[in-house]
Amino acid sequence: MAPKGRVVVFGRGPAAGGILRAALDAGYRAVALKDLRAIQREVPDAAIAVEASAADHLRKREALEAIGNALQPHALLLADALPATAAECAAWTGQPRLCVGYGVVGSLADQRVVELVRSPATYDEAMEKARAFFADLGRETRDVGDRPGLICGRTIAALANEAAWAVTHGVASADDVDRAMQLGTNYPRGPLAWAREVGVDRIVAILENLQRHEGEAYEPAPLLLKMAGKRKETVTR
Amino acid sequence: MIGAGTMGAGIAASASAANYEVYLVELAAAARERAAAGLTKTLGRLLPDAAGAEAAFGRIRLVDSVAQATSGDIYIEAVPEVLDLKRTVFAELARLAPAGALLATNTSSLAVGEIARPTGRAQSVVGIHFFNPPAVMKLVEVVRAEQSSDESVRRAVEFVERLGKTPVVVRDTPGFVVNRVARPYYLEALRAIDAGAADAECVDAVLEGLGFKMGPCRLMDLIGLDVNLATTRSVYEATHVERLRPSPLQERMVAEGRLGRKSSRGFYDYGA
Repeated sequence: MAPKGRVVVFGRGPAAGGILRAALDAGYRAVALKDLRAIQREVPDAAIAVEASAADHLRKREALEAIGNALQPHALLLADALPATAAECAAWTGQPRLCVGYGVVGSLADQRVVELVRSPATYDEAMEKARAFFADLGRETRDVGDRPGLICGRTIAALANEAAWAVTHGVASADDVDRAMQLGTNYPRGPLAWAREVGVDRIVAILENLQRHEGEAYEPAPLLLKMAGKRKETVTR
Repeated sequence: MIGAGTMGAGIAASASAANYEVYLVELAAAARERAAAGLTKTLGRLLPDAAGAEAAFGRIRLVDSVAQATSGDIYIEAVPEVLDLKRTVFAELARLAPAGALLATNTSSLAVGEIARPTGRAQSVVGIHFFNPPAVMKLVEVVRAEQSSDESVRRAVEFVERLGKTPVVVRDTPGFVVNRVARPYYLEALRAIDAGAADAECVDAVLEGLGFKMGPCRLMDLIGLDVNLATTRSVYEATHVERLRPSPLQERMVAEGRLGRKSSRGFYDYGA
């Protein structure tokens, strides 16, 4: 078997960590990148660059621009398509043909199926490489349309948001809401505990992406903003 | 227990299995017969020891009016979700139940405070919301209405705990916790499908891949799209927040009679 290509994963959250571990387990030479200097140094040798930034929109854009600049012409760029659409991500990279959006909410260890999404410019070859990479990591993939939050992100984020609004409205405490949802619906985790695990800032970023494209229905609850350490003024329009 | 449908009979079985003496009030003779057969089955499952199940069955008296059950400590109403019907029951309870009795409604979609109004003793009224099937599901939402006394809530919590279930105290708001917080699970799937992002099978695969036992589309087919839509509507109409607005796709499917398994067709086909 030919040696597997080099994989670089940019980001700090559970999503980045989970993909890195899965790539190492699958026999890839994989390294974590924490800053722009590491991107400039490592991406030119990478066959696959995975962008899994923390929540901040501006830093995500900077990272995608830097990865796009350093990317080899035959490499694959996988962009986290939950806090921004695949079309936006692809445009930021300057290499839209090589860019495929993917959806992993929290740790990949907890997710059996990965959504893939193309930008208008993405090559078929890039899509095939993306499918092969996640198949190598033991995951099923599904092609989905480029809607904000994809399926996995919008569901987990909207559940957490409704749970947070319920707490804000004094319906029950956060712990009671989580307990009720696990016992009453068989959800694998309580929505607020799930948000904490994924990173509340990431949940807020997914909601803000939905809010930008779909409107007020996705306004993050004040409790989520508080949990994420954000002030409300930063999101009200 | 007032009302011997699925919920009423199931709650009666749980209570008798926990050593309560139960009067199960049901007007319709046919429904009483059905309930008796159901009780035997449910108690057999709850209490594997045959003698224990038989004794529990003996603790339940099926009667046809509240007038035959005037010495209760706890009254639980589980008649259909129609406000006037429930109010009629509560007016009767106000006349016939002892002064210190706890009065509870098993509503899932109506305001407990509204149901309590005709009693003149709203401080004694709470919601005790069981989930279906009530003998199996561990969660019970204990609903504190604006006028419910702390003592009434405490008694309801204690009752639920004695049944071996987990009470969660919630405020009297549309959908309480579970029926409200679960809305996005269905709505986001419907919106994604309506936007053409994915089909039902894809949505279910992605969410089952995240650990949900059943994807939202398969689950709506099981529940019935009409029943699921009615829950969304009742929460939306009581709140009017955009987040909870019913999905036009679901409205269309219900209008076309695509209700899920019961109509052989919903998101999936189930043969004729």
